[in-house]
Amino acid sequence: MSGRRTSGGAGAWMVAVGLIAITVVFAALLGPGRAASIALASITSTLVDDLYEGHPEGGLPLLSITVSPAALDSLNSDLPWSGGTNIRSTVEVGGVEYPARFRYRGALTPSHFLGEKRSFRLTFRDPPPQFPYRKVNVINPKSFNMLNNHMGLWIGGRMGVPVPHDELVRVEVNGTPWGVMELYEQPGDDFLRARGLSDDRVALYKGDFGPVRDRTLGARNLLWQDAGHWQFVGRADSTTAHARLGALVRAVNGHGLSVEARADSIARLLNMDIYLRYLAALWVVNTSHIDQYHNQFLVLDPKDGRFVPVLWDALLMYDQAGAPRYFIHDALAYRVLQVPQWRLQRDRLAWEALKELQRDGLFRARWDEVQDRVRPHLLADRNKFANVTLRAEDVHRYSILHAIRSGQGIQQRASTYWDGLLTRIEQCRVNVQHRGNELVLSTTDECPLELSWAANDSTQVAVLLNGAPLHSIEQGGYHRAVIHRNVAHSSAQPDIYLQDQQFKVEPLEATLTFVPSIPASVRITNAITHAPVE
Amino acid sequence: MRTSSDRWLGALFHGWVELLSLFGVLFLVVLLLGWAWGRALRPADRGPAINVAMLLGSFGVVLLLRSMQADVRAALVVAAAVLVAGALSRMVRPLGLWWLLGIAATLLGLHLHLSALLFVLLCLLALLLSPGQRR
Repeated sequence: MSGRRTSGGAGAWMVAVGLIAITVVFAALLGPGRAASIALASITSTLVDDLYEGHPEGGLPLLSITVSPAALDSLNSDLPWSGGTNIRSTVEVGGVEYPARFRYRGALTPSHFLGEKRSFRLTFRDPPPQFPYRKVNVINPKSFNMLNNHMGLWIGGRMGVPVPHDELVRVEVNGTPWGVMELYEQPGDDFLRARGLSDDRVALYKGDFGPVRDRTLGARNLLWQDAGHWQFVGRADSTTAHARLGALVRAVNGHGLSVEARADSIARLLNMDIYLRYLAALWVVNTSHIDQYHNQFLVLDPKDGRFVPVLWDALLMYDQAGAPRYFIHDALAYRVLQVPQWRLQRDRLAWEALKELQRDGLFRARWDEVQDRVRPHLLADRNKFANVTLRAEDVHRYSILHAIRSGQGIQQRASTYWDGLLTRIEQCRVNVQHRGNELVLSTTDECPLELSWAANDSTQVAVLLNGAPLHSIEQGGYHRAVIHRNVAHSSAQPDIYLQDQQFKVEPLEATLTFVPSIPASVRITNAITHAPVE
Repeated sequence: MRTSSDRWLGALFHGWVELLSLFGVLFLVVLLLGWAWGRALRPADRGPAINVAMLLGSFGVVLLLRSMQADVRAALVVAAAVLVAGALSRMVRPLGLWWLLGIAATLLGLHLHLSALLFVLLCLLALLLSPGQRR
């Protein structure tokens, strides 16, 4: 007996040593950090996730898709290149079946096609009333918490930016659960019609990498370099749209135009109110995922013939490099943010949104509401795949612990970021010196200033800013004039096509001369918040 | 993306660690149940701390069930066959312990970890509180 025990014990030790040796070899090949991340994802997804044994039903809509298994296998065997091939499918939503074309999508980002939860697109002839769009993407959310993109778009939508429909759904393919996925409208020529804003198809341009051809990824083109780099989508009349897009591109990249002349041209072709909301949303969402090359859409509004941007793939807290005040995500943003009045308007829109989202707790409330619906399904989802390291190819199954940690982390980061932004916008400490009929202002804070004085003063007052007349308007019984801040480009050699640029606010040193004298009622406030300066 | 071999290396490692994790859990279960089973017996009647045949057999059941998720009924039939075959062979003794391990392995294989955990805890309690003469 003891001999058997001894030999059994030795065998067990040999097995244990063998297992450890194989693990060490893997770790050596992968590198310790990468191996640790993959191992952690594997251990927790294997041992922790299976502790949940519930079968939640409600909360999220179920998309049950039936496709030919052979056709699906054929697509699976040639990913990502099979992404352009459509196969027939039936999509059951709310107990009703809808015929649709099914294809995989997302050749560029491995998290779309590696792993067992693959992103795909459905094209309907008659879409379901629950999501009345001709094309929808059903994607594997990029973040562990699955809410990142959804919340980014929700913020944009709240701020008045057109956004695609986005909701979290449960997906089954041929009866096999694929888990929680994100249903994401693909903007097309029905973009306005689906929202009841137009009866006809509209011209829509996609600003993205070129299409995959001959097993080669599409070209990366600078969108504002050439109108031809924008892809026309749909079957609307393109004649006017092409001409207008060409004009907009020329207004952006044309040489020899003054800032004012360029701004006039841009404002005739672009809905500036919505575009400034769009820029404000990018700042609030803190995303750099929209850039010179991709993730852009422009819709031509038939009502006024101006383009409207659509916020797309706005990953929340996908940090803008260098914590910029005026992040320049593309050449158009460069031109727009050169205009002081537009910078001010953008800042006001961002500030209004931040007060609601952060101070009034709207973001937290919305997050909790969505998370409450998603949580049981996330717990039951055994098919959670995402990048578990920073390497694109490391798309592996992750655990609910990753999701919880990611959810808490993103909320914390958003909260810290927004507190910082609010401080940055509201902080306005100005050193004011009186010298006869002059006020000398200096500050290193970033706030633009508003000067106001009562309009009912008997004497007319003229104001000079550093010797140049300062234009004022009469509003609400006060004369108001804005002292805009000068900005400097972050690069030594400004180029509208550089990535990750920013405009930095320069310190203010200004002399205000009041003729004939400083009015008694003069006030200096933060031009964004209208709070008196400190 | 770097190379496809790099991608496969990561995927293989993920799967390897998954196997190790399951093996580790089962190792613990075999150790604990084996200890609780033998605790009430005379030292001479106790088996080894780890019954390797039982460990490998039950691990096989776990792998089988996990690899046949598409057809759970067929997987259960095959798993039951493995358990019965083990019982009929002389490799796995004591038989009672084999059945307990078989059930725990089946629950693990069906992704029912909470049930498996509760089952093992209940078995431990029962074994610790019951006399060993009748095993």
